[in-house]
Amino acid sequence: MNAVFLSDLEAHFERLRVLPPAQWQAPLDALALDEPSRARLQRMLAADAAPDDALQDLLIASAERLHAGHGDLLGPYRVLGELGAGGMGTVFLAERADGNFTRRVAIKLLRGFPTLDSARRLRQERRILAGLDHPNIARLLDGGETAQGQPWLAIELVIGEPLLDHVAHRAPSMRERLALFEAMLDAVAHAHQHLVVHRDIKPANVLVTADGTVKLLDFGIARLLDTTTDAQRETSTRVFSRGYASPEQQDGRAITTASDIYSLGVLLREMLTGRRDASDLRDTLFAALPLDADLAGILARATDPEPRQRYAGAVEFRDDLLRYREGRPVRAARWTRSYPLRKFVGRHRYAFATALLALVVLAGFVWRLDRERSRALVAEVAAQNALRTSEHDAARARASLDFLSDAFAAASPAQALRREVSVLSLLDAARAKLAARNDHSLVQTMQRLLAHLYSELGQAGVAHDLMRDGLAGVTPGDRAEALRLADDYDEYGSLLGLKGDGAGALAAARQAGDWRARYAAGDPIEQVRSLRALALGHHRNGEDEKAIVLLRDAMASARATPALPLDLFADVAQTLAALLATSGDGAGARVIADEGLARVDAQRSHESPEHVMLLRAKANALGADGDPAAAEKLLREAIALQDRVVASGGARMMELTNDLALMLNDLGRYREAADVLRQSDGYMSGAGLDGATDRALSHGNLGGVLENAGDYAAAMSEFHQAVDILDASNIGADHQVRRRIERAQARTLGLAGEHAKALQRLADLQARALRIDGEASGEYAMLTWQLAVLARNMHRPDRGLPLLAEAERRWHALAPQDHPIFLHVRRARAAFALDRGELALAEQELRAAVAGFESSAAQPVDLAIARSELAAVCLRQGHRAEARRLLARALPVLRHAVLPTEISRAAAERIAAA
Amino acid sequence: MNTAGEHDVTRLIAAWRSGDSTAREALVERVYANVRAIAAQSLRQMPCATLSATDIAHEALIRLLGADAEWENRRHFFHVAAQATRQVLVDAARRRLSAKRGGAAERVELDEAHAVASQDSDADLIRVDRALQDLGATDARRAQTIELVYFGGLSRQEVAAALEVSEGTVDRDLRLARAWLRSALDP
Repeated sequence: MNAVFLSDLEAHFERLRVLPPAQWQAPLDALALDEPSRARLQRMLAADAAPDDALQDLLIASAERLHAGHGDLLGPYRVLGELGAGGMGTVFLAERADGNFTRRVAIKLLRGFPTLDSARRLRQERRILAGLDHPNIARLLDGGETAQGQPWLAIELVIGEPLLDHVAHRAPSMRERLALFEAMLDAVAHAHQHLVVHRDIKPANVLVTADGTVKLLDFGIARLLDTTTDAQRETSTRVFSRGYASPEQQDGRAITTASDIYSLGVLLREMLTGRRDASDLRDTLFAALPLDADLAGILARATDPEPRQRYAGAVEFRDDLLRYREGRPVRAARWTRSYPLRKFVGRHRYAFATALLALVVLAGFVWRLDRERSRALVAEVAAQNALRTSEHDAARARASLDFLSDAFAAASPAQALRREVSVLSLLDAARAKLAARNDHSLVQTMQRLLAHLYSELGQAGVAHDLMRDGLAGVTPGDRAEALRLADDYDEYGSLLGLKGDGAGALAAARQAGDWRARYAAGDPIEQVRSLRALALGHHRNGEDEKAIVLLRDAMASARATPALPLDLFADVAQTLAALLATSGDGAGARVIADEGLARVDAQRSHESPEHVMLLRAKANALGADGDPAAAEKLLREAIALQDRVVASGGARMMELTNDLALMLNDLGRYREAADVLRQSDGYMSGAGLDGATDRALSHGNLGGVLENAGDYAAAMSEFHQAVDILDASNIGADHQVRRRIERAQARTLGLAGEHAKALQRLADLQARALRIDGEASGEYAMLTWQLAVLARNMHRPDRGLPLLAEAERRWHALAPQDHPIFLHVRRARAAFALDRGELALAEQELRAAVAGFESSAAQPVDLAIARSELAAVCLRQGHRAEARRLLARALPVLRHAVLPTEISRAAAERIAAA
Repeated sequence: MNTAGEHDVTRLIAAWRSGDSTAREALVERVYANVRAIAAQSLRQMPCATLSATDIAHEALIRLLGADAEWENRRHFFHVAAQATRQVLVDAARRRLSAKRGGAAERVELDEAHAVASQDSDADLIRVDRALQDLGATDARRAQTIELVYFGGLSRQEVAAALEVSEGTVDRDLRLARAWLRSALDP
């Protein structure tokens, strides 16, 4: 078969295909073809003559089979038949197939394949929805994904009549209809208290069972179907039903609990009058009940176009209906008469906007609440095993959940629509409420939870105190509790690290590790968590070498543990690669980043956050390994991916742009770098990141780039701000971040002419480096070098030459022979030679430096500076032509990369003018 | 939601047209994901409707590029969409086959007759894919004609324009390559 080629058969095929099939045989036999070719030609002719298009049929069949294999098994459920299909997907009748007991459920196979990100979110939200437990809500029981990744939900099977049919046939009176509706309000109030908005309330989502129980279906499912990002989700318009959707939902504005109130109002009107509104001209199922002024007022208030004019919550709506039923004056009546007031209110929109913002941020808390709930669940499971201790725990977890729900519900957006509220004030309210409690263990649980929340808001101080109090004297009673406390201690460690208490941070990490070791001994995943936390503790304590050793252990363990969660693995690999790169081991960092990428890419698409994270690690490794151009390319790729897949903005974007800026700086493109850094700062404040070291580093980086560009005044101001931030957060003299920033600051001082200050600062830093890192360290060599450079700027060869010799010796122990630093050493030596009038030596050193920069892949700006310095020497020797030639090549580069004030450019401009 | 995607796809196509082959890969990846989603979703909306690879590619175009994309972009896009559609179908067939062979626990309960039937056509699809790949090695234009028509949903006029040949050539190539592939399926 292999030997048969189409080109050999082409001419025969064209000639024979026009003949009737009966006449093929004779010419076929006459052809000078081998047997396989002849047979193939014959099959081709037969295929060509066939009336159907087998290829097309095959493709249609394949396309059809892309659709998940329903009719089969979804998790433990066996699908029995189709119940119906709607906008969200197909609904099946299914039963639990594991044989222990038979439970029938409705299974909703959701439309569309989710992206990785939305699949993760869907799983998370599914857990929240599973927490809704109310007699008038059809429970979400289970969920999962098919082999093809199609999500499904198992929902309590409700056998009942559609709401409006029931109203038409079995609930003729006003009282009966209102009773049905009040049950729905109860259900919605329950969901809102759990911060779940239905988003798609309509008659089709309400069934009434044979015993008259109302059941709301599909709570929050509209939101699950949303594939938009977090930031967009609150305003998404993707799933709703036009006749019932609130104006804000239809306009794509923010959706709140008030949106559900609107839909409920429309639904109530339809239950009473058979029509949704005046424009609804469909045939009605039943005769309209007369609406009196009060009831009309209630409906008008519920369906007010302005969300904040509606009932503040389902409970208030229900109370008003109750009042109406009991013949008491309704609150809405007051509302209907207050119409002119709206113009006034319209002028106070800012409060409204703030409340919406609070809602959006609140969504971020849902997972915290959920975590509390999963704790309750975990504890419940444990209770079956170890009854006595854990029942207590389950009760406490639930109590804390209730507490938090209450606290947030009390200031929930629905009720907060009329006043300014910030997340912080919500937390402060919760904290105040906590102070009034005397249940000590609940208080401590809540303190730890609130500490996590404050920490996320960047309120490290409050978070630290809460965590400290919440952890005091607490010891775990069982495994689940121990692992949770270990997490809490990890957070505490990070908070202590932020405060600059490295020793405390380490102690906290050790405590976390002890509990994991004692309660989860032999669990390799927990072990990796401990190693990672301990490594971070050392890193925060400024001991990167120890951190690297621990992370290498964690990597080894991770390699041997296929079940390790991928995000944990990526995190370990990423951290290790970053620390190796920072320590100067670019090659080692690359190996780790590549290993991480290989494992991540084998399991996830290239669009996964883990991929982006490791791409960044690899880029930084490349940068440290001396290939900033390749690093720039990778970083831009990572930024594009992040932008496309996750969202523009956010903390990750801040880090990526920050890295890119540093890389551009290394490439000598200082002005571009400064622009990217400012962009990065925008992301930082946008992400609400205001950790002290982050903010300080951000100023420090910008200062460094500005210094390179030659804007020394602006650079000094940035360094000042950085140091102020560190001071304000008590980040001590030995902290790495402070030392790095002070080193850069000293360099700028030297360039700006403040030699005395620079000298004092550098000497101090050198002493610290000697004590902390030892004299064989890169830090010590760097400081010696900077002292030599300062002496050069001061034109003090007497001081500078010994320092330069020492720096050179130390660099030789640390860097390869061809490292550009040795070319800079030559430049420095040339400068000292000029100070002493040794023109020949200066020329010799600078020619060597220029040749070195020319032959290596050095930064163009370095080459340009060396050329301009050589030009100055040439000029002093009277070689004007060569000086001009050198300047002609150097100046354009300098003018592009740096400002006129930068000292090398300024010097070059001076000799050009001479 | 589509605006960002549309812009991005147009940008990728422009980059590809100016010779950036990584842009083409990014485009294929992008379209691949979309084609997969469309295929699954459209079927769910209309369970009874048959949906061909052609429909999928067309819907992918409209979703990612908008209905009135300029021809030069459409042409590039359809090359990619055809390839992505082909990959999606073949990958799914492979997955099903290996699930069957590997005996993934939850697939054991499958209706046997249905499973066997689909296994056969999955194997057929993979054979067609391989034959098409082989054809592409010796006869690139004809292989591309098949891909554009069957997986990309281009009309013969559009294929002629896309490949810069006459419509007569398209007809001949199609006839020949179709018979060739079809005959590759027979034992």
